[in-house]
Amino acid sequence: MLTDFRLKIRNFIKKHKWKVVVFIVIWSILIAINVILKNIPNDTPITTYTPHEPIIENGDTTPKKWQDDIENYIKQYVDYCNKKDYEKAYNMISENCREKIYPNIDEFKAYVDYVFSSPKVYSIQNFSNRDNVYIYRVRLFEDILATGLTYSETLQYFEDRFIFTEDNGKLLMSVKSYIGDEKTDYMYEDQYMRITIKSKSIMYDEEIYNIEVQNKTEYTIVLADDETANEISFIVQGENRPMLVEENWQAIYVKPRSNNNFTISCTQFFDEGVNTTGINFDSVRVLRSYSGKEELKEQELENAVSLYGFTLSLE
Amino acid sequence: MKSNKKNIKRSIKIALIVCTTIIICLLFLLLVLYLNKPENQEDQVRTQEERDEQITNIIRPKGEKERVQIYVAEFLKHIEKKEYDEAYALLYDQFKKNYFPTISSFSSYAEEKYSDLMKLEYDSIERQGNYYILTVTITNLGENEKEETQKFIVYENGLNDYTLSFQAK
Repeated sequence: MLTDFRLKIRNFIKKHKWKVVVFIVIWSILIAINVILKNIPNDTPITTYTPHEPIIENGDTTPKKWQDDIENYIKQYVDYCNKKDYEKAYNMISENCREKIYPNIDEFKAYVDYVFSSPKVYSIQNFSNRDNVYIYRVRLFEDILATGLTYSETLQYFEDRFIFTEDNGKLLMSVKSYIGDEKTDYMYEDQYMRITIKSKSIMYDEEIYNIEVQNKTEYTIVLADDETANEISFIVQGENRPMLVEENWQAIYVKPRSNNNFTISCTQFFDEGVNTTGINFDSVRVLRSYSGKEELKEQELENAVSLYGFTLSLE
Repeated sequence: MKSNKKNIKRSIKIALIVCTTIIICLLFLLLVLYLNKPENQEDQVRTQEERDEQITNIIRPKGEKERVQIYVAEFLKHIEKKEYDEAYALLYDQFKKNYFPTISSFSSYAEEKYSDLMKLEYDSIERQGNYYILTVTITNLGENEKEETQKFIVYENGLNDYTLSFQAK
């Protein structure tokens, strides 16, 4: 019985000699790999800090090929600013962004001198990514390791959004939430005026439209002077978003037979991925006289040539 | 044709033998390395390096919050034991320059501020990039029991490789 069994094993091994050898070798390799991997200590600390994963849920992570470049860009930029090497820091910013945000280096110097009045360290966090545009939140704060937060109970920081855009295999860096500019040629015309949307500046949280208004009449045309609510609003996904009115905002009106350029803006988050489809001008006033004085407003409106509204389509 | 087949078989046979030999050697080498690990040399005197390695092994599976708490606890343990050199070495260089330019200035501060028996309660932890801010309530136990809240800033370079500072008040 036992002899029979041994014979069977011997015959099996003889018949499948090579298969058995190959099996043993593969099995040994797998054990070796397992033992090696188990013995390599993983000394990378476990952390929840994921600077390249967007805060916005379900957003795409920044591609691996750009992650180091982005970190190096920010590090280099902050280093230059800390050293007050204005020109090198200024040149790291994309040309379009420089033109828009800091049209001359003196304005940039003023910013650096204010924020980097003492050396700053920073933290970065990806905010969101869309269409090869990578948006990072950058917080600049005192070197808290050097101070130990001795003179402040809480951490104070300056926050900025740095935008990285892929351009011909290279990364371009913008600051102050600036994403880019688009040339446009949307137009509206009636018997009183002609409005042309010349360009649109896209910021992370805002769209700024540069408009030119041509007054074809002998009267003053008022588009907005904060007289009523929603004189100008923007149509986004069927909803009306009011025009942003900042502190030093000035009335939008055009004197007889003249041309004027204005900027109007609305809140529009780049990562929403929606388009503005129109601009409502709901309180257009063609006035025989316009003083801008509160006490004369009623009388000026009574003598108006026309009061109307229209929508300028952006589609 | 037959001899060609025989040659291929022989080559495969040699290759397999070489592979097996390498694997056996590797396994043997790993076994030797494993047996020579310091934790197995129980009779050897414990050095600071070994202590560090033990801490590294303890914190390896832990999350960042627990790690940072362990780092701060280690720092304060050095102070409790009056190991001021070790505690001072953990401080960030610029922080030392700003507040404790000499080790004696640090040890005088520590003598005055902390007792040799402390109770720690971790209140909150905040992270800004690679910086951690841990708020700790320290109770100095002893005759004049005193409780005080203090913030510690920790920067972790790697496992058990960190530097720190604190509110030097």
